[in-house]
Amino acid sequence: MTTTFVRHAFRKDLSRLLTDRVALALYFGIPLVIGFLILLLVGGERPKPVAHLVVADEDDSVVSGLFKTMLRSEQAGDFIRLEESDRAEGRAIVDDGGASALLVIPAGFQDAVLRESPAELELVTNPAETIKPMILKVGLEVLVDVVFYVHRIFGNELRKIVESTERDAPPTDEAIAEISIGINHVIRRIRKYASPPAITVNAVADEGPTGGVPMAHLMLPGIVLIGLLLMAQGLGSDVWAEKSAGTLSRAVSAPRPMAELLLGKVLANAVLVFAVSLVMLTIGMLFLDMPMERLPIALGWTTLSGVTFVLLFLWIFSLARSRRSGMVVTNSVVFPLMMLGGSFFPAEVMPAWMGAVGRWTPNGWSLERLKDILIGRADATALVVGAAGLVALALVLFFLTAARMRGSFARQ
Amino acid sequence: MIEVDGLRKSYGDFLAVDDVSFTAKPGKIFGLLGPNGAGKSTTIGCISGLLTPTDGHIRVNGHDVVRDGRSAKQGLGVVPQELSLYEEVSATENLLFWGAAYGMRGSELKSRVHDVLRYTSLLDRAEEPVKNYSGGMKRRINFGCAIMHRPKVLLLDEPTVGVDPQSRVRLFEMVKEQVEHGTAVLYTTHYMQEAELLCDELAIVDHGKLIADGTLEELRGMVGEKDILRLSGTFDPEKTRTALAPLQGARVVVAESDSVQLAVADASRRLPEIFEAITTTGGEVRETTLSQPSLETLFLKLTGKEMRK
Repeated sequence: MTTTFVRHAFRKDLSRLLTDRVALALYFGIPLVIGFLILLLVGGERPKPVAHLVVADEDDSVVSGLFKTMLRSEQAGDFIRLEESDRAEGRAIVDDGGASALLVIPAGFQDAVLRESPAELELVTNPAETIKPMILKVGLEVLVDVVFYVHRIFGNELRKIVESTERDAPPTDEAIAEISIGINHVIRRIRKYASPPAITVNAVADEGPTGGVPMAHLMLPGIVLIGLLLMAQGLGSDVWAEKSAGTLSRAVSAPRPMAELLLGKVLANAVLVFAVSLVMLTIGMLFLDMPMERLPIALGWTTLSGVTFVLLFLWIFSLARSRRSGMVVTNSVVFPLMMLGGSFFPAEVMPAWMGAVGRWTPNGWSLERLKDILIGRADATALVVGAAGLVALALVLFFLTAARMRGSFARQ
Repeated sequence: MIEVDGLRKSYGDFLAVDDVSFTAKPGKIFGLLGPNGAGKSTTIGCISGLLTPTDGHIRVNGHDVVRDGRSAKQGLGVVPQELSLYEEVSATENLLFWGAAYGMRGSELKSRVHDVLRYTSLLDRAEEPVKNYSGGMKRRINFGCAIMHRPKVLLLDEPTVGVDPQSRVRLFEMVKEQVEHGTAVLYTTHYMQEAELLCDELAIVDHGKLIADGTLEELRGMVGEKDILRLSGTFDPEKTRTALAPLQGARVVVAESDSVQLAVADASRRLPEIFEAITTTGGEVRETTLSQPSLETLFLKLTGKEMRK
């Protein structure tokens, strides 16, 4: 083997690839567009729904104030944004679609609560919304329950506090002491139930079929593999370009082995596969905030996989009777492979049997290892064995393709 | 030198080349003449190693193309019938690639690229993509790629098909220059005039068989001194053959209902008696064409038909 011919074959094919601007734009553009669309579909953190609640406080009392304070609390604040207004203006805001609901705290609310007589809160919901008014309704029901139990426990003391605020004179030291002692006694009485709490809630988040890995992280390898497969299909058709131009039969008449010409072609394709992989992985990993130290290994893996796919398609095209039939055959291979191999839907969310089959397609197999690399769960030994397997497959495809190129394919 | 001995090439039951033998000598142009489908390109394919002969032997510069293919190919330059270039890249890139394909390297390769660019008058547009070239320029660089490695044997497979007259003349000049340097040239064509103009020796093939070979003079001698007389009109083929048979020195080559062709010595002076004989059969002559002896007439004499294109 002479490196001179390989070098010139590489240079020639790289120049040909770089002059085809449309193909280049497609190789770089298609995976980015598909990736963007898929990530829009499944990825990204959706904002939590926050219900806008307008409160018309017609009672303007201590209890209504406490009620509003609870609605403004840190916990409730994640779901409820409170705005104060009067009844008419609040209603107008809701009618204009500017708020999810209007809460009216009627005059006499405090008296009713303290004297344990019926009290009614009025909640006017926005009919154009469904989820947010429901959040407000459930939230208010919880608050009403809280008020009920607070009243059961501290009702007497609360009544004394309210009565003291309604006098013209400030409360006496004796009155304050009496309230404090009363509260202290209640706390002592309920402490054995409240601290530690008799019931604790252990919230366990369901990791789902993805094992806790964000869906977008699982989709990235699939998107990269879509790009590689489509590009490999385009590059694989080059055997027909050589045949149609007559350069293949001319090369058969030359003394240098066909393997040298093919090696130069594969190396030129490898440069393009590397460049497209670099762009796709860098953008994807930055967008998804993935650790960039995983990029070099991922890049090595995608380049090796991409070159193997190119050789697979070169071989398939060399078996076809025409360029058109080659396109039909490879199209009928590429799209099922992408679907089954986990490029559109990760194997984790496929039916079990389909996921199992998909993991053993060439792209699915490559995709699973790329996923392991990107997520940081790749085992070094398994990766080396996998790479050795890819190299072996690539070599077999290389010699099969070279044999076709110097044989009956060139002579047809 | 190319030595072809008893070459046969078959595709299933179809015999494309049938027992063809000839020798193309150094410093000479050997023409392989025949209509399309005669087996010329198949013969070239077998010599260049693209096709494997079914039977027979081919030696290029003493190397058997089947058993010692690489050595045989090393001395061959091939100018295919169709342009065989990488049109997206420059002439320089093409020449570098094809030079390297024949084992050239380093400074020798670079300097030869420069020489061939100058030889093909493409130095000033050497770095331009070939797709921007005119048809004639593409033909020149196509030829240039074949002579990069200074081959001792050059195969040209109908190199002037679709070429404008000016480019054709330049191509002929380049072929002759190679021959002056001692290169053996095998030139296939279906243009009789081209073969007469260029070739030192010729073989005429039809339906895969070699039907005549020799120098141009030897082949002309096979025709004899007879002219070819073509008559168009309305004829009774059988009666016409019978009526013309007694004429001395005349032979009916073709007799059909709308045309008759005769090989006849001194045809211009014998036209009256020929017309008279035809008139007795009830035939009518509307147009007359007279041709001097040529390869065309030889082909007609040997095959009973005109050269198809």
